[in-house]
Amino acid sequence: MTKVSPRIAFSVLIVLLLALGLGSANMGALRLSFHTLWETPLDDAMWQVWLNIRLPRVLLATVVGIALAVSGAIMQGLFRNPLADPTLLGISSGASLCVALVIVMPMTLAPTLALYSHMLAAFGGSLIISLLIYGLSRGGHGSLSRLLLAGIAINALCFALVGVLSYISNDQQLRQFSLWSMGSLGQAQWGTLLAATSLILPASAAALLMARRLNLLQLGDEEAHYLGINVAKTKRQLLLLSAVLVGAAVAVSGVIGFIGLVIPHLVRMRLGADHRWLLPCSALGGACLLLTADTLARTLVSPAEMPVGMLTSLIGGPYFLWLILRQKEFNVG
Amino acid sequence: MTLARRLAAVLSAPLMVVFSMNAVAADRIVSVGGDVTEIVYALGAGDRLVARDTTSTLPAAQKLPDVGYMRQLNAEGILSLKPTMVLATELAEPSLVLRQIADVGVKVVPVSGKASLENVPHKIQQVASALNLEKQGVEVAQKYEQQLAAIPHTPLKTKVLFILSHGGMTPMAAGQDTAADAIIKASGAQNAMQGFSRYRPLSQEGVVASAPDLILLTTDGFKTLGNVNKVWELPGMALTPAAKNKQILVVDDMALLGFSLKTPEALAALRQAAERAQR
Amino acid sequence: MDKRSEIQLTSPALQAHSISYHLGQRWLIKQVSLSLQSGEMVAIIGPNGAGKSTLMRLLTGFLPPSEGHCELQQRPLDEWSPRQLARTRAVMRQHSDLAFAFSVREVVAMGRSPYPNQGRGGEHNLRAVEHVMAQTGCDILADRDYRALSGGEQQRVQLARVLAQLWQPEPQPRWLFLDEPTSALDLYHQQQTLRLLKSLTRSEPLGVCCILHDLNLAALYADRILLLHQGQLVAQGTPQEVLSDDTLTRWYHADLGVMPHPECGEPQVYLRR
Repeated sequence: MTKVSPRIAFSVLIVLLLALGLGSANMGALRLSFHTLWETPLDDAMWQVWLNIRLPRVLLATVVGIALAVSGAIMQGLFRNPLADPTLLGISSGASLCVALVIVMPMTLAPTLALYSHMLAAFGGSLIISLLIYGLSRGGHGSLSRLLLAGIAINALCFALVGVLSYISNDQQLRQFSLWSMGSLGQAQWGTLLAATSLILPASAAALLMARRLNLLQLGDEEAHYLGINVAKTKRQLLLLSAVLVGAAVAVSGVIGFIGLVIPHLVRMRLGADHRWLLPCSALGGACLLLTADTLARTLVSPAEMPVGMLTSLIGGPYFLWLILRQKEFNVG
Repeated sequence: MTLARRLAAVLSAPLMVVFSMNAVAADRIVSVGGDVTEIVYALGAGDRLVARDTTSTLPAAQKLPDVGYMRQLNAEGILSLKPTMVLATELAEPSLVLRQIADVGVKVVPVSGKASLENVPHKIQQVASALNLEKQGVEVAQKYEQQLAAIPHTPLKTKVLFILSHGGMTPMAAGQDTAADAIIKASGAQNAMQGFSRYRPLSQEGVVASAPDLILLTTDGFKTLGNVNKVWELPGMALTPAAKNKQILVVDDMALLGFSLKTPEALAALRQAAERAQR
Repeated sequence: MDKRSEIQLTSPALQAHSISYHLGQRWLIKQVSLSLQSGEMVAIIGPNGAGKSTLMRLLTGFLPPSEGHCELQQRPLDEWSPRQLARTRAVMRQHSDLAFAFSVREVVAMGRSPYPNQGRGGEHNLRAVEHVMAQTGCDILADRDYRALSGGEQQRVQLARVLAQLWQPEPQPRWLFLDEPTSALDLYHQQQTLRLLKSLTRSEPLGVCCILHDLNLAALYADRILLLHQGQLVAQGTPQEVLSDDTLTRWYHADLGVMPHPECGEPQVYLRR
């Protein structure tokens, strides 16, 4: 794989993101492009739809893409394993479980709460698991193997409980849950967008500031210690950032797989492993991928829409496989 | 958030005018929910529909664009059809999306989602009044109630076993708290399966012990099994009175379990079959 | 007073005062006291399981001693900030695996992380990296993927990295700890590395402490040898003093003999057949 200069790649990605953003904002079920907007400025309905429905959605795709890609990069760096991804520690499983509970268990909620019930449930689930993981990480001495095992256990347990809930659910509940778990940006609106962004952007920025330390961790815990960083604290902070990113993303969009695993991987293949470039370029790459996938999701079967998580896997999977097969070296990432 | 809503309200004020003008000019209605769509057509207003959802399996509605599964709607998709009104069952999700649509100024009419025979006239009335077809609504409701009343309700000793079957899943039997249970009770027969809620996989012992006189299946469920013989091959079936007398009834899904306008027909068919199967 | 003692009294030192370390019930290090001056090369030897790596971890501050304490330049180790410590002492371990494809230059440059990267600092960092890569012969490997290198090449890169960590425009007293730095190296590179380390201790105030398996290398290059056995320091002194027939047989149990090196006279150990 030929390496590309990180600066060039970063610039290209920024331009690509802007182009995709503009393109996405121009495309949708409603024939509503910038052209139309300028042409007929008196059509308030169109403007409304573009401003309150399409624009937040495009922005949400960008922000969630950033969150998933950065979280994946953090996990891969923390665990020093190119196969790590944001779901490793069970945070999205916890979110899934809470959403399944809310869907299947009969409950009457205040009307405003009911509107955001899935989001709140998902966020609550992520929060609980995050606290659990964080608590576990305090106990160890910077060793992540305990966390890894805990993540496996959490994933298994949540999967089983979701299975139980699926078993007792009726058809419609089952379908609704499975659609949620395939991810969708269809509920994008300014309120939830701002809430998610207020978590995702600061956490991503903080992760970027920790890029150098993430590099040092690659040498090994002891080596990083001798180079002057507090290994246990650094790892805990990174875990926390990853948890916040995943929690926010899953809350607003359900489980969108694949981005967190593949984007950092791809970026590393082309740009090298230096996290000072890996993190920002992954962020941009994740945003580009999700924007593309979401635009397709809401235009391919218009006026219906496909779950975007399904598309990210459909697009990404074969491409990733092809890349792996093309690689002559045995090394991964 | 409040600011955005205020902005939306302010911006949509002149828009209300735009949309209501359209209402006079040409009605554009989106119907979400199979039962709702069915009622719209029964009221003779099918030509006012511009789109429907995936659960609207009525043949007449198939030519209309599909806005997606009723529990996973998206705002822009529905709005792209420039609707003047959206008739949505209360079971439609996400409610946020419906709120977004309402915020743009489209009239969103919720239709009761309660699954019971008695609720159907209420649904008819809700749809009819939204469409300004009260008279037709009353007629359709009356017809429905007459059909229902024509079915004898006297208790029968027949034990009916409803089997739920989907591709790739073990067939399940319906216990209490299911639509099937309600329909069976309404026909005067008894649910062969007692003592549990929702669905349970068929077990040899359970089936034999319940000794059903009549097996009830939906059309789709029957399709996944294949043919009649496959039904008798299910666990414990061969030893049941139903098998001995070959008593089996297959009814359309929506009609049997959907508490729709076709339900009285299905109920009548069930009643007849139950009477035949009575020992 | 001989020159050695003079050096001991005047040059800065890393000192261990009766340190002990236990893990659970077992005492891995028992009452070890020693002193490492900057400007001298010390080798730690001992049979397997003697606790050499553990001792090194105690001296470098990775593990806190259960008893006793360590001081660096008269300040207790735990009073040093991580960054100050990183600029004063560096540690090279036997194996360093990387999960991702970093270039050799990137790995060496990581050694400069305790130093600021702006302005003069940035220049210094570049100079440091180039300098140490030339010193260790890694300059030809500069752009290669670290993971694609042989074990010996990787060890050289790690050596460059720790040297980069300690490089300063105005040399200060520093200490370099190495755990088996020559284990994967061929003869040529073993010699080059130890010669390099020895010359650095002479030309700069660098104190080197390495764990060596090869007694003969220790004898040839170290100023002092510390012999560790089951957590205790059982002998310390010049190679002549420590590498004697009885001492070695007593602690290593192997059937061996000692004879003077034909050129420099240092004791060289040979195994009897």
